[in-house]
Amino acid sequence: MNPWNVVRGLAGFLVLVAAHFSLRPLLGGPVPIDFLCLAVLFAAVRVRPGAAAVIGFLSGLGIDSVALQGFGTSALAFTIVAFGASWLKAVFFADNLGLTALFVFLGKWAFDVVYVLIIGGVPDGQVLVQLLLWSPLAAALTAVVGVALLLLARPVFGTRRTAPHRR
Amino acid sequence: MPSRNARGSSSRLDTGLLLACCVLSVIALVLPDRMGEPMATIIRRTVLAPLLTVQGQSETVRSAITARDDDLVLRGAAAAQAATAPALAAENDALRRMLGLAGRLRDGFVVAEAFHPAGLTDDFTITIGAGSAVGVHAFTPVVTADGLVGMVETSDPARSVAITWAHPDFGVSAMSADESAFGIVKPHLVSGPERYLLELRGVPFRASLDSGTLIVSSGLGATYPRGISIGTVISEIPTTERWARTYLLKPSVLPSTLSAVVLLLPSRVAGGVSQVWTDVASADSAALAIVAASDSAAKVAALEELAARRAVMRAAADSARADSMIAPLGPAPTVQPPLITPPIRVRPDTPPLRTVPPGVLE
Repeated sequence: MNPWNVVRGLAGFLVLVAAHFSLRPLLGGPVPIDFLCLAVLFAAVRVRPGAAAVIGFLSGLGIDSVALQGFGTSALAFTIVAFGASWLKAVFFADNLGLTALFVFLGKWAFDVVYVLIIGGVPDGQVLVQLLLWSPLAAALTAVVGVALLLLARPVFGTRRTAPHRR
Repeated sequence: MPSRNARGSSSRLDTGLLLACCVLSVIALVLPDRMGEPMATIIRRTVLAPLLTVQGQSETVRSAITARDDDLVLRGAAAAQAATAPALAAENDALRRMLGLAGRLRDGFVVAEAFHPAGLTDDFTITIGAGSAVGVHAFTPVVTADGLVGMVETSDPARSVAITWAHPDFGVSAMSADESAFGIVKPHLVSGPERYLLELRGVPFRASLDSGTLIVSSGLGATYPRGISIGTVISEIPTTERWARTYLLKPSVLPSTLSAVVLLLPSRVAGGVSQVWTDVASADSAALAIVAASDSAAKVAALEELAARRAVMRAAADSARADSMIAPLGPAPTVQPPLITPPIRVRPDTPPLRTVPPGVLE
């Protein structure tokens, strides 16, 4: 892998992680933007699926450490989502804004589905509402932000000219 | 291009890493809290420490923004309350005048709250918080310090329903305050804002009333005693009747603004209420008394303040005099002016001071 690509990817990842802990609490609201999911997805499409799984696992473990319950839930969810994202990217994905938005939307939604189903913290009557209303809304908002980031800083967050995929 | 073996080993490595991460996640999931919590604590205190600090600061900023929003909401509420202050002042004024009315009536009446039922068909009725338990029955006159409101139509032990002068069934025998003209006052049954005016019908043609003439109840009939203010003449209404005049009246009372009313019991009706509304000198005796009381309190405060100022000035002058007696040959002592200086009051009718003799500038 090109060292410049590594630096770009790492910078983008760190920026998004920092945004997750600084910008997200500032914005608040009932439908939060998941910057960490964006960071994991954007990083996952740059690396092999195995490395993506490790990135997802470590990111999820960080989130789990500040959660009150379900230590390991986010780690498992992010592992699955990151591996799937990297694998899908290697198989299908082109550097297209619409597809990227769909990719982020599905990635975030998949994370929420896995998380909610594993942790079971949502009351029974609210599971469907959470998975069919709030999670898609949050996923859509996250996808919009992901596309906006790609438009604003494509060299940092884009995947074109990434070494492994060009070979 | 990588060989098939290399790709196969990479794929196996990916799968292995995925399985390892999943297994570790599941282990973390099934770990008891007493084992998982120390690991979470280590992560929080090392890798995540700076990020959590930033998160805390962001949440503080967010809280400040939210608190400011709450502050703005509170300010808005305060402004709204300030906006209602005139309404409170008006209500206070009405209650003071009600006190004056109670003082003039002396006995034979009940003071009660008036409620305005919300309903399309109830625009011309009010609910009164007094009923037959205190002697209020049908046909009891309802009045305020300003004049006639209407009469009780139905009465329960604790509540009554009264029709106001705007009700189509309302009618009262009336006369001008100087007793020069008599007629019947009925609501002005037209559409639009004029619906809330009254008509004085059947006034003999020879009796002409000027605009602003006070119309009071005449006491004819058994319901309303003589002398309750009803309204003032606005103008004459042209009608087809050739032998009588009809006048448009401005009502003395606006029922929509009522909060308290006075119900005249039969003993009071029988005793009459003459001079209660028409005697200007006694009209606002209670209100005047209250105002006078507040004025006297303000006067006392002003006198006390004036006395304090004089004391300060006197003390300053005494100390200056004492200093000059102790050191008569020394430099003149500096006398500080009193901290509180009396304001210079100029009567409005006082002519301005002129330093130039008259005629110089002209």
